[in-house]
Amino acid sequence: MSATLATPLVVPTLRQLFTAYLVVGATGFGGSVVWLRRMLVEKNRWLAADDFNDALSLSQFLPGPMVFNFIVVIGRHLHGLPGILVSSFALMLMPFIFALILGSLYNLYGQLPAIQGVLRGIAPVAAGLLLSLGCKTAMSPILRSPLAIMAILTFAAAGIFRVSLPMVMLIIAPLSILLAASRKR
Amino acid sequence: MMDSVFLGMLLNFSLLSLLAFGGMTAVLPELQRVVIDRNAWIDQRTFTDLYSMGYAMPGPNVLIGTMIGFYLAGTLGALAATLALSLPAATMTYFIAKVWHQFRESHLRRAIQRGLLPITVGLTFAGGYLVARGSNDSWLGYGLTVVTIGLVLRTTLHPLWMIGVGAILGLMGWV
Repeated sequence: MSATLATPLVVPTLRQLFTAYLVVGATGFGGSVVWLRRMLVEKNRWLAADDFNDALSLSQFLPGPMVFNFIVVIGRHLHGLPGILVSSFALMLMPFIFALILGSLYNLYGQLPAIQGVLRGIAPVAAGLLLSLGCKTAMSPILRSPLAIMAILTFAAAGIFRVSLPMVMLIIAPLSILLAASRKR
Repeated sequence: MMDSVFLGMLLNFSLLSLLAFGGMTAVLPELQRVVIDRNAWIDQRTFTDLYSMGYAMPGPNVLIGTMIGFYLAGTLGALAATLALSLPAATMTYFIAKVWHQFRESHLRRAIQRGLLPITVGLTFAGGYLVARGSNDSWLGYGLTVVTIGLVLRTTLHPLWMIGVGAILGLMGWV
């Protein structure tokens, strides 16, 4: 990334990286682009806005959990492999511990009627949050084209006919990419 | 410790990592298929519980996988699931980041990005549909799902409020 990312405005030490990511992770905003931008670009001036956007578009383009892809690009730029390792460890430390605690509580008390009730109430909201994320992404102008058929095809294959993801990617992805390549815009 | 569930999870999640175009939400249908339908590691109810907790919990979405890993194989399982879901993709990112600037403006890169977007959208809808179908056993549940969609798209209300309201409604036994 060295060719595309400019020199950082301030070079953080590994310790500073650790503390900053630990705080973003612990306050629960580790998955949030807004908070990462605030931490890296606005508050600490470790990155220029363009470099941030650049890293973001790459990490959204590639598969996998976005935040780790992002940390790989940024961490590498700031401090190489140690930068990546320190950043991702720090970011994930507190959420991981929370998950262990929540998981243990679930194992112990998950079957209590009150807890089952709460979880039954959260699930429809989680479904709604997912579907609204789908709606937001679907509003992209890219989908105002025959490519929308590919979205419907994918939904039917994965959601209704329960086709495996490798199969979906093997069959629909090449078709969709070919269709996208054939349309000039 | 290295039993078949643990190894199966490790292998399946590593593959999912490389197929997760659009992030964790896009692999939800496949996660359900692998964990519930094909291997019967977890039943639908428990999966929905773990999913809801992982999704509602503030933090990266990969926590959904962490919760599943913990349920299947304890702390080591949580660690393995988290790493399996993130490490393969992160490694790929590491190497592609080196050459990214050569492809950023290329026609092929644009075609791939545009072509994958509808797939991400289809997968996200499929995931939401499956969670709704798996969890909502009353019309009120579906109503809550629809209201949530409306609130997210029409207002700037923070999702935690909606999760809180859902939790209270559930506690009262209304959903």
